[in-house]
Amino acid sequence: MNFISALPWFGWLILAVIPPLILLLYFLRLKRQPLEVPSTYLWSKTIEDLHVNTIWQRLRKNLLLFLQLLLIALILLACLRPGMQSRERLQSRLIFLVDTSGSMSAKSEGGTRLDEAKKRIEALIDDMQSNDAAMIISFSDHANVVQSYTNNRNLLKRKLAALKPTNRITKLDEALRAAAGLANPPQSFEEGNPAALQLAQAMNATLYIFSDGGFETRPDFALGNLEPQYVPVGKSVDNVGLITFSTQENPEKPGEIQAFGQLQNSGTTDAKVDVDIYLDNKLLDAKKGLGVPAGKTLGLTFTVGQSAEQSVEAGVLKIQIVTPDALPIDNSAYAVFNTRKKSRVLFVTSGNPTIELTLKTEEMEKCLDLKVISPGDLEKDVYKVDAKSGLYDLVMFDNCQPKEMPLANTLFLGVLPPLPDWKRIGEPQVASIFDVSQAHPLTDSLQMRDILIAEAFGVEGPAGSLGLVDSNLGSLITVGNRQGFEDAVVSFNLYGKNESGQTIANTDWPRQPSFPMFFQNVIYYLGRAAGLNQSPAVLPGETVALRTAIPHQNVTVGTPSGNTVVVPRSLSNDYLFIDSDDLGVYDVREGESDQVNQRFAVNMLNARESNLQVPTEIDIGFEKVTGSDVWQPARYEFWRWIVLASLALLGLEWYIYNRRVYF
Amino acid sequence: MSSTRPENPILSPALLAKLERFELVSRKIFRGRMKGERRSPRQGQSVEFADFRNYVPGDDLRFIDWNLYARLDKLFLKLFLEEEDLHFYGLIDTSSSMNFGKPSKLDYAKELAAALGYIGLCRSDRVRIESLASTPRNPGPILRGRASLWRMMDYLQGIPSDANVPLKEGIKNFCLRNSGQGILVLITDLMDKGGFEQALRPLVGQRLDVYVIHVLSQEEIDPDIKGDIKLVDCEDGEAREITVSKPLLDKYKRTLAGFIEGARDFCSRRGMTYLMTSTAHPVEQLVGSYLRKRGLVR
Repeated sequence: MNFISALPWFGWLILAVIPPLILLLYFLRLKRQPLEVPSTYLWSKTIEDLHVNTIWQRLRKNLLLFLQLLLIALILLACLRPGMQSRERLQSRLIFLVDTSGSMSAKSEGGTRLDEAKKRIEALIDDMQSNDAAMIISFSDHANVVQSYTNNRNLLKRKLAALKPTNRITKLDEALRAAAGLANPPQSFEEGNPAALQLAQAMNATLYIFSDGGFETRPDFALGNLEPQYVPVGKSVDNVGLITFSTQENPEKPGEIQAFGQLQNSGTTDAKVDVDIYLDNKLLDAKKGLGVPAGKTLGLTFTVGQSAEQSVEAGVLKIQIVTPDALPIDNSAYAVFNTRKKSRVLFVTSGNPTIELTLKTEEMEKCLDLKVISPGDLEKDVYKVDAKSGLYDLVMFDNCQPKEMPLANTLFLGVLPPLPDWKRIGEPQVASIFDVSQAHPLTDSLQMRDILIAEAFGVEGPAGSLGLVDSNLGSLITVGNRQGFEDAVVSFNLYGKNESGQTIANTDWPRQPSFPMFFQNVIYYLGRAAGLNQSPAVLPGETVALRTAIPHQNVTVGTPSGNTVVVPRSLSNDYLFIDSDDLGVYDVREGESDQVNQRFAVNMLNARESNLQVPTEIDIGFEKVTGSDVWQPARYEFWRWIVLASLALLGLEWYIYNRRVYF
Repeated sequence: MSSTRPENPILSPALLAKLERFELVSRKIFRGRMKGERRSPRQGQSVEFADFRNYVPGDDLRFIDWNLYARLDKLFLKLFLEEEDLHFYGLIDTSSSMNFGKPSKLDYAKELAAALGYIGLCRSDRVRIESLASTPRNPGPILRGRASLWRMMDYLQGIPSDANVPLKEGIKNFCLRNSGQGILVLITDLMDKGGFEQALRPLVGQRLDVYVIHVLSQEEIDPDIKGDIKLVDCEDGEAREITVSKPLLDKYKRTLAGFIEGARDFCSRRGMTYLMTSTAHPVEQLVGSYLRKRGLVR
């Protein structure tokens, strides 16, 4: 409770004079109306004994005086503007953005950071006026409108209490968009009318962002009518977490797996941690007292499978930081080895020894199930049935076209797919390569600039297609999408014919190291051969595309928490599993199988989430929103109530005066 | 009699007609001065026989019963009952306090005195109406006979309303002026700072049948005032400051009731008849009902 003077000093002076004046008026009785009566004889007798205890009687008689004094006291109090410290609420509409990402499950005072955020929001909900409306949006890697605008506080509290922490990463943009969509109404533009018409009433709202940071800034986001308030949740604490855990087969020693882990110390002091590594829940290795400097990362390497008893064909590798800290979920990570999954590839060629040789190396055969047919076989029923059933992962057409595209990824060499979206650019001529996309898995790390090509043509694919190899003719290698499948086109042949009809080399690419690497990439990427021997790293909440050797109606996924989820087959012959919220190893059973056919691991490996430093300000659009640990002072003013009470008192005085009801 | 007859007479003709049926009654039998219409303790000349007595020399020979002398050879004098008049005094308090109320207590008192006086006039009684301010030099007229009605009315009209004579003094003066017997109707509000007890005491010694008619206005019985008020006494200008409240009003009413009860008690102990009335009661009702019950009129 505190006060603000609403009057200048002379105003107070005038007000201060009033109470003594009232008293004076009462004791001087300036107000009394003279009334002539026949005789004061009876009145004298009546008030005779009232004079016995005069002061009290006089005061007792003057209830009206008290009421007037009380009234002026109330007015004085109202002028003092008494108020209570409260939370600032800028608007009558509030939007609560609650971070439910992994870092919010870090321990805070007496609970997690999410608990702390809930407590604060609950206090704000309690502070709401009856006509205030609020909504709750939770966000992690996606936003979820938990409760749309309502003034039902109980409903808001119920929905708030039901919020659960996730293991996901933090992305603010979707939540901001959801909030902005409600606060900033859409606008329509009319032809010839330069002014934009607002389709709905703009609703100013206060946007409370309860977060511990850990998200990217959004320079392109306009807040519009939103009044952002960033409320940092939790205190900055030190944390050592895993940010990378991957396995790789040692190329030099087949059967040996190397595990790489990376520890990040996001704190401000150097830390020493103990790390254990388990293979199928058996302790494999332990490292004690690893020093991780403040703000730095530390790489770890484990080697698995040096001896015969350490089989690494299939298994679960787990790395665990034993030293406890504030955020447990980034202290362990899993890597899963599955039995190699071979890619089924159909090669349609009238004879291409170079490629066949490339695909039949010892290394390639480990992951490849190759079938070679001639273009004439495309007309046979065997092919048609296989192509339609989705038996093949990849079909490669060497200088020939099918009538219908197979239900598989395809690679076309020297020809275009029989689809209208694919177009040639110009006539075949000599090509020289400018650039190779290093970002795409097909051309990753390929050096192709020195390749000579006698005859090639530029290719334009369907919408959304990517040119991977740029040349003077346009793209020479292009990847395009086709209903869940991918088609790649290499726009030149390895062989050509000279004027005399002899087969000659069209390019020297097969002699380059990039040639076998390209085909390896083709097998892994288009042929979907599972990585060397490990499942891909999956972040919590990410969609996992599962594949099976034989097409099944569905697969059954067992989650680490013991649930089983049946996933049906999708159009593109894979099984899209979306409930990957739990951390740990997921078992996948194909079809009716009782056996676990494959496994994958979901790990919270994210440097931002592991960082438990709470930023003091965040950037939204071009605004810097400074977080306030202390609530900005807002006053809950009482003067309206006091004025109301004064009015009620005035009414009471009037009643007493007229009704002469004295007590 | 008077040429300046008022527009609204004190007594309406209808009331006058009713009043003619009434008759003033005294509980005491007094000797009148003139021949009236009521029996007197004095034997006199009338047709009503009273008694015989022995003749003593000097007696009027006309009243000797000669028939009895013939039988008994003794002279007896026949005595007859004398019919006499009644003295009726109306005494009106004319202090300023009587000037209050609507109708004012004074008007009410005048009307009442006129009504009672008219009853007396109709029965050939001796009627004298005075105010407390009357002095030996300026006494009220002595009226007799129905024809004196207008004289009485004129006198009543002429009574001043602001003659502030204390009740005690007024009554004392009245007693000094009128030492005879009869009925005295004192019409007053008894509002005397000195106390009505002292004022009424002189009447006790008189051979009068005293009726005290206590007139109060409705404003006095149930005051309709509110707020902080300075009450000013209209007689002596004394001021009293009060803050009107319900308890105060209740207390006032209790005081008033006590005052009335005290007056009634005082009067009944001393053989006076006390009647409290409000100006709201019509005079007709008062005379025809209340005073009849109390035996003043018949």
